[in-house]
Amino acid sequence: MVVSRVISTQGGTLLSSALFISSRRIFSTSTSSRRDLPPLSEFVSSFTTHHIEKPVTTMPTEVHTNITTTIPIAPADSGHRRLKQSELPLPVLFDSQQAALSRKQLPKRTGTIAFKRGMMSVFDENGIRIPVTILQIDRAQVTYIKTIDEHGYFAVQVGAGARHAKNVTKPMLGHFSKAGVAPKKIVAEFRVRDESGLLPISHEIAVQHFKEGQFVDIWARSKGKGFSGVMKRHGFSGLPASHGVSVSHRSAGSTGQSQDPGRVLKGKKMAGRMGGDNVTVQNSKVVKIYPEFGLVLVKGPVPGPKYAAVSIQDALKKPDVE
Amino acid sequence: MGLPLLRLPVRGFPVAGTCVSALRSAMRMTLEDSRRVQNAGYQLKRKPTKLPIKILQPGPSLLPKGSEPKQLLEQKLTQELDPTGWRRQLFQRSSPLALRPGDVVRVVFNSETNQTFVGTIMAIRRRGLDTSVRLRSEVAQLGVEMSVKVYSTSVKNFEFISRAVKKTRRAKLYYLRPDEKKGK
Repeated sequence: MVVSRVISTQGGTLLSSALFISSRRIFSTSTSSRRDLPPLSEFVSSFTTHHIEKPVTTMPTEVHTNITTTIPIAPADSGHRRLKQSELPLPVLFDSQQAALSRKQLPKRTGTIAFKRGMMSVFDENGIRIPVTILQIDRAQVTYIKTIDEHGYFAVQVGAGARHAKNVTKPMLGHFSKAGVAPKKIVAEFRVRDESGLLPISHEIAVQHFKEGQFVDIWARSKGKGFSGVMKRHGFSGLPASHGVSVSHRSAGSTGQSQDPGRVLKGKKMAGRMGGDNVTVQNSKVVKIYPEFGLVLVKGPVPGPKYAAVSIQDALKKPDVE
Repeated sequence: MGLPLLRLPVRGFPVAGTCVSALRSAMRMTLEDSRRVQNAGYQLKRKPTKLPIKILQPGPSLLPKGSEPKQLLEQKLTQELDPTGWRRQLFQRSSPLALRPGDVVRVVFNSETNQTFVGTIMAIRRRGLDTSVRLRSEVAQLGVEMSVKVYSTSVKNFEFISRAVKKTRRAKLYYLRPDEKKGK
C-alpha cells in the first residue's frame, strides 16, 4: 500500500530518495527514473519471493505450542509459499478464552445462595465445642443454565429467597416466568466444570445438596468499616506513644523517599474505605444440616452481616463430592 | 398485589387535578384482578404478540415466620444434650440446688478412666448452651484452672463436695489467683 501510494503521488520521473519498509531495504535508488522501475505487481511479488527465499538455517519442521495445536511448517527449500496467518490452523493462544477455560479450576457441582443467620456453637462427638455459622437455604431454585456452546462456559444461575412481585422489575418477572419459579430475592451464578454439573431449570437446591462433613467455599460481601486508618486497615504499628511523638500516634509514618522519585508510589497502603469487599472463606466444614428447617451449620466465621446473602459451593481444593 | 404492574401505562407525570384521578382509577383493583391475585398464580397483561408473564406465588419458607434459627436450634440441642434438665438446674440462679461461686465440686468426664477434676468454682458463665464454669485448684503447689463446658457431651457428672465457707461478695472470684506483683 505504501509503495503504490508513493508512486501514484509522485507522478513524475523521480521517486524520492529512498524507500524503506520496516528495516528491510527493498528498493533504494535516488535517481532512477520511472521506466527503470518494474511494474508494481512484479515489484510486490519480488518482495514476497525475496521474503520467502531468505535462507533459514535452522527451520524446525513443526512448532509445538504449549496448548494443543501443532502448526505444520513447510521446509525452507520446498518452494512453497509460506502460509498466511489467516490460512494457518490457528493455535489456541495462551490469552484466549478457550485456553483460559482449560486452565480454570472449577467445582464439579453447583453451589447455592444462602442467608447468614448468626453464629452459635455445637459439640462434636468428643464433646469439643465448635463455633459454627448458621446459614439458611431458603427456596433456592435454578433459574437459568449457561452452556459452553451458547455462552462460552458452564454455569448454573440460582435464585433464592422470595420477593413480592410488585417489587420486582418487569424484565426479571419475565425471566422468572420463563423459568417457572416465583420471584426471587436474589439471583447469582455458579460456574461448574462441565455439563454434568448442570441442573434442570426450576430444580430446587435444598439443604441436602450438602453433606455433613464435606468442605465448602463461602464468599460474600464483607461488612463495611467506613473510612479507616492504616492501623485498622493494614495492620500498621503506628508511631510510638512517647519519645516526642505528638498527636500522630496512629499515623502511617513515612510514605516514601525524597526528591527521587518525588512522588508517592502507586499502591501505597494508606487510610481509606475498608470493608465491603468480596471475601472468600475456603474449606469450611459442613458440621450439621437440618433439612426440616433448611439450615446448614458451617464451621467458623462467614463474611458479611446477618441476613446477608452468601454463596456456598463445594470446596475447590478438596476432592469432589459425589 | 401486582396492581401497579397491571395498570402501568399511565402517561405523563401526575399533575394535580386530572392526572391524579387517572392515577387513582389506575390503582383501583377490579374484582377480576383481586380474584387473579388470590389464586396461586396470575398473569400480567401484555400485548398479545408478547409472551405472557406468569407470576407464581412463593411457597412458605421452611423456617416458621419470625422465628430465630439460633433459638430454634438451641431448644432442639438442649433437649438432645440435657433431656432430664439436671445441667440446666445446676446453673439456674433460681434453683435451690444451683452451684454458686466458691463451692467445691468434682467434675467427672466421659472417658474410659472416668477422669475427674476437683476445684473451687471461680466463675460461672451463663450463656445457654455455651454455659461454662471455671474451676480452680492446686496440684502439687501449682495453681490449675479448668474451664468446663456444662453441656458438653464429655461431661458425665458434677459431684457437689461443699458449699462456700462464707457467702462470696463477688460473682467472679478472680482474687483467688496469686498476685503476680507480689511474686507469691
